[in-house]
Amino acid sequence: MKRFVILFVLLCCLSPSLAAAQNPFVDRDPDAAEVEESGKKITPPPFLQKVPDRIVLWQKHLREEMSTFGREIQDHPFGSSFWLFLALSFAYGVIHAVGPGHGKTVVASYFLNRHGTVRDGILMSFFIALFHVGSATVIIMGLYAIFQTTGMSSFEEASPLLQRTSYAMLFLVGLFLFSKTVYELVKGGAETADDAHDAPVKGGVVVTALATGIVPCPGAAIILSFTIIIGIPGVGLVSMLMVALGMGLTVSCAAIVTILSRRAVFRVAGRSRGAFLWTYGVVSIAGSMLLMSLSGLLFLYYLG
Amino acid sequence: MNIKRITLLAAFLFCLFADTALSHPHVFIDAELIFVFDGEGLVGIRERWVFDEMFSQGLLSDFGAEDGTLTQETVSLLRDIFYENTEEYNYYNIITINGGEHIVESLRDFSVYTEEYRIVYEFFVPCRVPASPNGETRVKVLLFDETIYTYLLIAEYQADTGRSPDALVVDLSYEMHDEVSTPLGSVVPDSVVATFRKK
Repeated sequence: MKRFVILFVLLCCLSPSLAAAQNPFVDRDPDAAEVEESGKKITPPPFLQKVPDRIVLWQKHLREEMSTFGREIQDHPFGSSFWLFLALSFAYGVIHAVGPGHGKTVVASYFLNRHGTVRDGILMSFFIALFHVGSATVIIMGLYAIFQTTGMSSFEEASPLLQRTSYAMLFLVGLFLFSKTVYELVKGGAETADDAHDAPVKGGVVVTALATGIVPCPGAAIILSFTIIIGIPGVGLVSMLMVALGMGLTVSCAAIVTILSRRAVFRVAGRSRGAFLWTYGVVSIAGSMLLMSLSGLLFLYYLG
Repeated sequence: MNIKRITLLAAFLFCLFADTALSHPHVFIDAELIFVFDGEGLVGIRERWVFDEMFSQGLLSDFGAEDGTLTQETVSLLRDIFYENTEEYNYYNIITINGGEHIVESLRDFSVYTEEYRIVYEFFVPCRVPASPNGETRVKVLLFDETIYTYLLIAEYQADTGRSPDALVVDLSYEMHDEVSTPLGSVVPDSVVATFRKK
């Protein structure tokens, strides 16, 4: 029973964070008029006390150090600053991905629903990170190639469309997984812990990773943009790879703990057929519903 | 504790941390606060926000000012964008006067310039609070963007009593918000408290 309580708490903790924000210094807020109408009010920051200040400060210090090293690379292209810049890019990726929106919830949802090996989890995590950073890289480099600008304004104009596309794709993935799970339950396919090692959905890892990672990472975009502005775009491109590797590492942790947890829960529940069927149904449906609710809510949020 | 329990606990802690860690800012600002007083009490707070270099360079590039030179037109545009986008959030100033919330009606004396590759915003936050003859008045300022897009750190603070240096007794202190433990350590959002009374 205790394990089910822990699982329930785990699921609650995985609920989506709707922490979406736009750059307040570059673009005009289209909803500003509504604020005027609704009147001014101070919204107290209810989650203020939950923000791990230390993580934020690490990111701040990393960005400061990277700026300094970036300037030094201008004078000494392959000096120690070059390597330090790349090392800090990796560290930035690790820490930046701890925040919301880097696929941790998606990999957790997916591997709650589907059986996966640790290798699958790591693979999906690194694919997500590569797509996430790669998307930002393509946009920034594309803007630079076409308009000779690297400003964040144009970057952020492209982001909402990709975000909506991503959430729509993730909703469809969630719907597919949900339907497949219901079909399996009705068919009565998974009756033992071994059956829970169901055949993975073909291409599921890559499709889910693509759907998640297509949203460009603003953190990576700011770094790449900076390197282009100061005249070291090559270093910027290599650093994007390092940022992606760092992010992949963090997201992998979410994938691995979910895979191992699912495995552990099924092993315990597998001692009794009834308990196993119940657990299999709850865990698998919860995973797909979590993915659908997360992506659906975010899709509607960005649609509005 | 067996391996299964450890795994479940690890999963719980990771997910708990992952979801509550809304530590996702893309702009970092070092802020300097100057509490300006006259003979009657607090007049307001002069704020100086220094943006991080990476974001500053992107912003300058956006406005075609890579060399750091900002035209008056650009400054006005930046001011308007800033006002429109942050008014809803009280310009990221969470100010309490003796525990009561203070709404910032408008900002004054806005200016923008660059300093060592960084953009600097300067403005004045009007906050007229008369000193009480009977006891201390307490004004607390916390800089916070609840959308977490911007992270503001109060790097420096001081009092300017230049207009009537002998009229008031002023004390400024850096105050920790309620300390909260998280898996990565304690969380202590910072704020500055100005306590003052008439001499």
